[in-house]
Amino acid sequence: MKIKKVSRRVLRQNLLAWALLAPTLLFLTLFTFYPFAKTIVLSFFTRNLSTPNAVFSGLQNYRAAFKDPVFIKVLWNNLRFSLLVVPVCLCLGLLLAYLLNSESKGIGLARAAIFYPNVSPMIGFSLVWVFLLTPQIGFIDNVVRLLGGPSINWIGDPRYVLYAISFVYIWREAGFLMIFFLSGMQAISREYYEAAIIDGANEWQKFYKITLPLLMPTMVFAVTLSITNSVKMVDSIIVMTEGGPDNASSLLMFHIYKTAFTYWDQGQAAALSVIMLAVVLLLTALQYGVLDRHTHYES
Amino acid sequence: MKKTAVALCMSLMLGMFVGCSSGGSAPGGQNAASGGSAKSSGKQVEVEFYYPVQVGGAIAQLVESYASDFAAENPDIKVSPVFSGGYADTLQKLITAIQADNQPQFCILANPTILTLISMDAIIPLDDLINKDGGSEYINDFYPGFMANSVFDGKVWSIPFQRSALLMFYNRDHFREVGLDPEKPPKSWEEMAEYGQKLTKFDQNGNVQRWGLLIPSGGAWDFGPFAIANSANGENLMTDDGRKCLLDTPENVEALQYLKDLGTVYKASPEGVVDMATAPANFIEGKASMIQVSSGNLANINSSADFDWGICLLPYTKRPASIAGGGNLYLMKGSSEEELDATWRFVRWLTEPERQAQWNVDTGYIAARKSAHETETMRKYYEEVPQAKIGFEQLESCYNEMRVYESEKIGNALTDKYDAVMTGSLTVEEALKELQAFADETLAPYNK
Repeated sequence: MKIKKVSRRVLRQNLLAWALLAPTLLFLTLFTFYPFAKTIVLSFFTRNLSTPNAVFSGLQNYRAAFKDPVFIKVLWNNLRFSLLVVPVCLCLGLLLAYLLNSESKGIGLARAAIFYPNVSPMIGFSLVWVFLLTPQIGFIDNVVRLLGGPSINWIGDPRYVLYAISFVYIWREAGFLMIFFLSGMQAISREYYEAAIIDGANEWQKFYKITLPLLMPTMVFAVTLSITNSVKMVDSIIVMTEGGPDNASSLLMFHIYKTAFTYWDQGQAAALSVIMLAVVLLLTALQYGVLDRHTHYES
Repeated sequence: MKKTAVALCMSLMLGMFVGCSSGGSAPGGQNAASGGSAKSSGKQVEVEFYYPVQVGGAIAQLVESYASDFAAENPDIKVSPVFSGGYADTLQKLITAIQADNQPQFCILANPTILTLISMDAIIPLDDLINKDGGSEYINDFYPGFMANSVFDGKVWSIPFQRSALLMFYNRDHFREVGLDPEKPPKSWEEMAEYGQKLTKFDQNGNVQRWGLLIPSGGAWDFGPFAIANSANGENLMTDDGRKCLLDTPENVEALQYLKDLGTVYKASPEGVVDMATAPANFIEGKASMIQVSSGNLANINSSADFDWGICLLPYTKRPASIAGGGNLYLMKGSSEEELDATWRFVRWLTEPERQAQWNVDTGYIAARKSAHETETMRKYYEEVPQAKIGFEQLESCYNEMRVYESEKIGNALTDKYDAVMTGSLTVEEALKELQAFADETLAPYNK
């Protein structure tokens, strides 16, 4: 009798949980799990302009991907890009959040200004950057030359283009990460700092011994986010360089996009998507394994 | 309390399902509705089409006004134009629509897209429609240079519409300034390099103030004229059946080497990659003296340039050559008999000589029909903008733009290798050899 009562309560609670989660589950299934499964299936088929009806081809698409020098170049580009932008964005975001975590006058304006790139249309500001970076008529080239530097074709030279793209990306992404760090910092109780001041701690000690450890949950989230964002980066590339010159600024997502919707090689694009997914999953798992162990979550 | 929460969730979900299903069936519902009204109101046929705006300007308003003008003359047909971005966006939108079995009746797409569309089995040949209405009198009135890309495998697959050609624009004031005769623009490659060198201006620190020559690096479109002008027997970059590329010929090596030398040896052009979009802007600002760009820039340059400018035929070696670019009208598979007839009537209406002439005047695209150039409208236009006449003359020597299977893949590879040569990471021979190998591999399935 008693057991029955308990199980009914459990059942009712479970039902409520399912009901609450169902909308999310439905949308995840429709727009994530189902396309995901379909992509994996498609990656084992050849389906392109010369073979409009999908033909099973096993691992052919995967073999073709790793034989393709452009894909290898794109992988290498993305690795360099991520290694550059992820640490810079995190440090810069953290620094900005630290500087802006005060009650001074006008701080709201400063926060808004730094977050501003994230609320303005990407196509618009990417185009503005194209003109700023254009040699001869661009603002940046004129300033560099005025200071006696050489004229550099930032987005037309394969040696510099990835840095130019990275710069524009950091300009946007650092402000985005700042918001998370800032909210994390504001959730830290003041009492810790007051106690630390009584104990005679200096600014650096307060930051290193209190802020940073208590910010770790936010950090785990921010690192994951910035790594996946750096692999997903595509919009500014489409507007600024189309991956050029000679694929020097082509990143994974852009390469997949081009394979699927410019070359219409859908089987190949599916295989590339699966590879990208594997890379992101691996990175995330690795990073959770390392960072999470050192993170203390307050319950 | 909990019960209300569950009920709330359930009703929310239900609402969502209903929302989804009604959203999903909306296009079908609309079609059914329009089909129904067609029957009741005495056969009003709807013709939908996608149109891109590739070069900007007032083209969108023009196309919309065409639709309403046509509807006023033909109350039995409803024309619905759908703006769809650039050429590449339009193709994407079209393919998505085809997969949903909801494609428009026709589309304006880039002229080399023809083989991609045929591979996808998306378009229909137009010979039957032409025979029924218009005949050879109609189709032979289009310039052969523009028609060349429409005819494949003995059939006509598209009607030339917003067409252009690569031309050379030059600043006549700059010519006078350095002692060149503006009446004698460069004719040969040697002259082009020599004039370009003369026209390039440096400041006292050795920084370039003005380039003599700007040739954008857009790949097949910009390299084409150089390759054809220099090829042994007038071959294009590909064979006529679109199944083979002719890229690593000694003549093409010469042509590409010349383009590189313009920057590295003659110092007449910037070294490295030149963005297509910035060339006309540099010309208008007086920072470039000669540019090789699409005739589509004519209207903009005419209204913005505050100096004496001219147009000349592209300089050449063995034979004059330019590339015919721009977009054609393609009719999609899947239209009913009535829709097809209505579409053809609209296509015929759009390409009437007088309308083509006005389109040329308004947009700068070159009217594709010969008879359009004999209208009063065009006569007046040539009086006002005499430079435009050269664009018309260049038509005599226009060749096909990269019409090959997998043209997107191969065209992109060409741009990549072109960039690699210009930035110095590959030699001309290496680049063209690698490109040829890539093209052969890509086209292998079409040569079985």
